[in-house]
Amino acid sequence: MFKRLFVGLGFFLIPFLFFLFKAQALEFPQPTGYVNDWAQLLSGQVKESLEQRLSQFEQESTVEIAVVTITSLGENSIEDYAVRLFEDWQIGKKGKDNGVLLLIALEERELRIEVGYGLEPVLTDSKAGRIIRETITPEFKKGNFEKGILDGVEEIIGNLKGETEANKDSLPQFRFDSGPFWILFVILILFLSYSSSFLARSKRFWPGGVLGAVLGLLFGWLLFKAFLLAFGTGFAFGALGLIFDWWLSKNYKIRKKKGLPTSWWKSGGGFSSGGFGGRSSGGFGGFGGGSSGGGGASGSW
Amino acid sequence: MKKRSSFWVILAVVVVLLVLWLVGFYNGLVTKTQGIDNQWAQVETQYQRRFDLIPNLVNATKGIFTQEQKVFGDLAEARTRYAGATSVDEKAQAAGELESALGRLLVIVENYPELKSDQAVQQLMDDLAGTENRIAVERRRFNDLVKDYNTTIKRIPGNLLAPMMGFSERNYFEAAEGAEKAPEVNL
Repeated sequence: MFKRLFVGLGFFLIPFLFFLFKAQALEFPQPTGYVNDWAQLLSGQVKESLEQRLSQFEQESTVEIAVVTITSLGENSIEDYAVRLFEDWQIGKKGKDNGVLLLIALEERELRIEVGYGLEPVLTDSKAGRIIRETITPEFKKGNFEKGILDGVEEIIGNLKGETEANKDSLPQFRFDSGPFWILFVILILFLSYSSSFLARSKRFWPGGVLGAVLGLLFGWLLFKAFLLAFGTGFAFGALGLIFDWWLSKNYKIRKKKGLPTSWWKSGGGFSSGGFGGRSSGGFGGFGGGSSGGGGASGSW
Repeated sequence: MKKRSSFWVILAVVVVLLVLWLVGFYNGLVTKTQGIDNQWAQVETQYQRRFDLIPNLVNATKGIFTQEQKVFGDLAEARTRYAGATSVDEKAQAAGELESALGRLLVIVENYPELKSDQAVQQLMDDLAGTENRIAVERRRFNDLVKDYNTTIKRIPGNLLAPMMGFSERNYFEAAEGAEKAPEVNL
């Protein structure tokens, strides 16, 4: 029975491998917490306490505040960098869009507070601008990065505090992203189990290839909504199906000759699936799927 | 007999999958056009925001600039044109003119230190800068969606299927002429 499961899994993990490759091509590193101090402006202790403060605030208000320091923006404007980072990390809760990003670029001496859609009415552009002008940049000018960041964050929290408690108990979001997909998944595994036994008994080896290619195309399409990738998975599945069927058919013949049982999972035998590495990052579970649209303010020191 | 039945099974599977795929393709295009329309609405929301902001900005600064009346004239004119625009293209063009007039005003404000440090003006400048940035962001997203959609339509099999299904290419939002250039200011 286990082997049967493994064979099915082996087949269906292939599209996920494509997913993994896709994920690796992103340009921003993954967040390691609410505070990502890439420019190393904060001491370990301050970073720790800020991280705790932000995580605590998230628990009482669900608002996600990210603090990011970078050494250089490269070719980008700070506005562009901030909104793309926001897009990539999806700071804030899905549906509420209640995220805030405080981004500091050391080399360009620029900073930005990017505000998620949901908080734009609360933390307005002019409030964000005032925090930057009156709280953060005066400290930065003196070289007190830690104090500037801490005070700035406190002021952002202070601005958000009264307003966000009201919508804490808003209705849960309807989510059925993955539901139909998993049902399809189960059906296809069953279908595959059945067709494999059929393929094993048929002594030809090519129907497996055809079946694999068609399944791969369909799956690739459903998963990626892109034709080229669908072709890729189709091709991969086709090749796999070919090998699989060839193997099954061969095993079937051998087993038949030896008088061994020929139920399909026994003639398949020995398929193993690769490991599926989950991302773990102790305590911090990533941001919640929020988005922003360029609200907030920028400044320089 | 066995040979034949396996052939029909495979054929049936292929046909069913093909139909499913076509339905998926069609629905994918519908989803994309809806996304583009929705994104355009986002762009217009931000235009409206800018539109509403202008009177405040003008009131706060008008008394101080006596020499720069031309900018205010241009602003008012572009704003009227935007209000009267009905088609997407007209709106885009009027928005472009508004943008360049606002750009000039911003540069003027930068050149008046006593104005720059005024609290009310600073707030307005934050609002305006935020709005301009929002417009840029939503427009970029609009263009990204259009690009994705157009790519689907122009590539095989989209170039064959899309016309049959009644989908045609969408226009990008292109910044109006002059909006990209740094505004000229004569003081």
